[in-house]
Amino acid sequence: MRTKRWLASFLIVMLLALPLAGCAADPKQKATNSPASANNGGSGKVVNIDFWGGWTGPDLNTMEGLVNKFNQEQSGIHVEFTSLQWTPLFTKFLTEMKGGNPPDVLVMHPFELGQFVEMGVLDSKPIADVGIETVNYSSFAWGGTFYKGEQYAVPLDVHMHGLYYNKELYNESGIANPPLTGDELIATAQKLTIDNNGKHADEEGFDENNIVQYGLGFSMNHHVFYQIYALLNQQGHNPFTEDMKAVELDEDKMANAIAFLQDLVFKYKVVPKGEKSPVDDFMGGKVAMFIDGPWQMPKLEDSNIQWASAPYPKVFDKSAAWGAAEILTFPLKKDNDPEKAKAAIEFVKWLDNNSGEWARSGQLPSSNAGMQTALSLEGREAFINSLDNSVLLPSHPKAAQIFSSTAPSPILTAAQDAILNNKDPHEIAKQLKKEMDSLLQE
Amino acid sequence: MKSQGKVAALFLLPYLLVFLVFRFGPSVAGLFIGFMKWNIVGDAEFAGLANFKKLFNDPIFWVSLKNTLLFLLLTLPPLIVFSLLMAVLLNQKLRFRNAVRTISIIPYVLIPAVVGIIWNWLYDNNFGILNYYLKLIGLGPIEWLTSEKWALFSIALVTVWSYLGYNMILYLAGLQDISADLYEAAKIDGATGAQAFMRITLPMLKPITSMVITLTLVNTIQIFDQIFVMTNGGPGTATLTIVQYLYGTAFQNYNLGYGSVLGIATLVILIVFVQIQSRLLKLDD
Repeated sequence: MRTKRWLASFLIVMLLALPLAGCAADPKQKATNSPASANNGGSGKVVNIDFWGGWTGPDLNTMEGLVNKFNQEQSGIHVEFTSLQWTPLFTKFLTEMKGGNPPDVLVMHPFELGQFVEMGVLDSKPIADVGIETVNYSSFAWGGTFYKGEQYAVPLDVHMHGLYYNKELYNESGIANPPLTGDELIATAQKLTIDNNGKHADEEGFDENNIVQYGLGFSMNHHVFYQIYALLNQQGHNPFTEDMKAVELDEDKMANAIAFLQDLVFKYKVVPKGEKSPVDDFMGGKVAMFIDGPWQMPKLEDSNIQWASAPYPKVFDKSAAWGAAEILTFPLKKDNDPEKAKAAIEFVKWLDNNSGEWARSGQLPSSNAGMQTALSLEGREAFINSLDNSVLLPSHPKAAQIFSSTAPSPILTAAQDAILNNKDPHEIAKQLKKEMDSLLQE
Repeated sequence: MKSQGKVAALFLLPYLLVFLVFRFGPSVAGLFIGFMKWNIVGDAEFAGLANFKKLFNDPIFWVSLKNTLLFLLLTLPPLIVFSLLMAVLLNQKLRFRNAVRTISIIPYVLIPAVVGIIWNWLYDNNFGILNYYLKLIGLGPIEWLTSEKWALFSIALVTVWSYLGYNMILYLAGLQDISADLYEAAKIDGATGAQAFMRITLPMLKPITSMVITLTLVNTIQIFDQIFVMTNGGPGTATLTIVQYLYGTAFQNYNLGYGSVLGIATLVILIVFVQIQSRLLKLDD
């Protein structure tokens, strides 16, 4: 009887649940371009290649447009484009790699490169055939295509944190220029933070419980850690390297970085605590400035807000902003089809030559030529000017774990302990080092 | 009779095939993968009991287990009690009862990601409508999703809101199956409404209650989508449940072996709870 009951429970649970079969996220954001075999007008052979990326915002439409343009411009190659969120994209990539059918071109970020190279799933040989030269790219972008001295990718674009501000609200508060330093950022944000009696954050009688407009906003997720990383670099300290076995963290400098951000929220009250979507708050007139990447620009361009951008402020001794990039890689193909390999190289070359159009997505093209196009577009200049000061996270083989953006993640815990829980900065620094070291030693 | 059995088997065959290929097969494979060290791409290496040993020494697993059980405690009782009360109420001859029944089921029909996005707006610390009204009456603001103290409770509240209507419909179906004669006889014997509810309604609803509890257990212990959309397991690890941890381990860190062990742990927890509820309700009686 007892066995029967346990068996019944097992079967019920098996019927209803799917705990062991995995829970890979439903690729709801999937976008594909189905192949058009008649593309060549019926003459000649069409080589179909797969191109995968992780775009889900307005940049997805721009890339779809580019792929369509490539498919229409020539008749020998048809690119089938698939875009999912990054995490399910890479899971799908590895699964397809195991099954022997990976895409021909895959987009990723430099910090992910190391882990995939170590897994042996990327091919560096096609890079030479693309024929790119360092002089044609920003050094920041170029540097992100290497792992352990070998080039595995073609640079596509770069992005970094910058400061967006509402020009109308600046005018109303009599502010002429965006802040360039930490002190200026605090002073400007105080002027722009207003309670329901019209008092500013630096005035006597300011009611911090009834704020109707905040001076500054920023995402309270892993991007807080990216800001901490920038502020560490502003103090001349970068504890994260490609081959680290343990994190050589300067606790005091980390604490300084955290304390600056905490003060904005808890001391000066110029940043809304627990903010979810700074860009939406900015567009709704609830925050006057916000820190984010250039990918927000298409959204702002579609709004009625009078906006402009400035580089990430220099809070400490040096200028530095967190930056990242998107790079084009060639997964290792077991079938080794020379026609597909050649087609993939042709497509990557074409994307590289047409990267100026990619600038409309908000991302800044890596090539100097593409960057010139970006310069002619509104709001890009401030980001481009901070390119030389931008700092990448290293391409460590365990980057997916140590720099993970979802819980349990050392950087997310540190970020949220800092900005949501207002914990002691030194304790946060110690905890971050402990958790990262533990993952590095596994 | 024999041919009827064959026909029935034929009707069951398509589902059984799908079940075997997409549920049972991967589950059994998951059991084997639990003994392996495997990152999807490379060859799986036999790791013995290493992944199982890690489970017991992994502080994050215990945090995720605590969160999962706390979440169950926050959602299961209201999802049973309130859905039953709603069903009893909506089983009466009331005006607009069909409209109310329909409205009640809408949250369940919405996909969890949409529910998450809607409630993210409502819960917004600074500009959300909930804190707006709380401030008007002198309470709050409450840091619904950004405080370690409140985040799990806030998601539990959304889950109860989301599943309540579905459980209510199940109870409603059960209530309509109870013969009116029983209530008539009880009335003649002088039973009060409360006595009829305790002696007739509740015992007659036992099979439905069992099903509602089992479904709720499965849905809540495996909660994923809403947490993924609303807090992503944070702040810190305050809303990290076992399935959330499983997802990160298997599909973000590519540690399939340990991810499978987390899946096995989820299965064991579910079986234990289904057992407990079946014993408490004494379904064999």
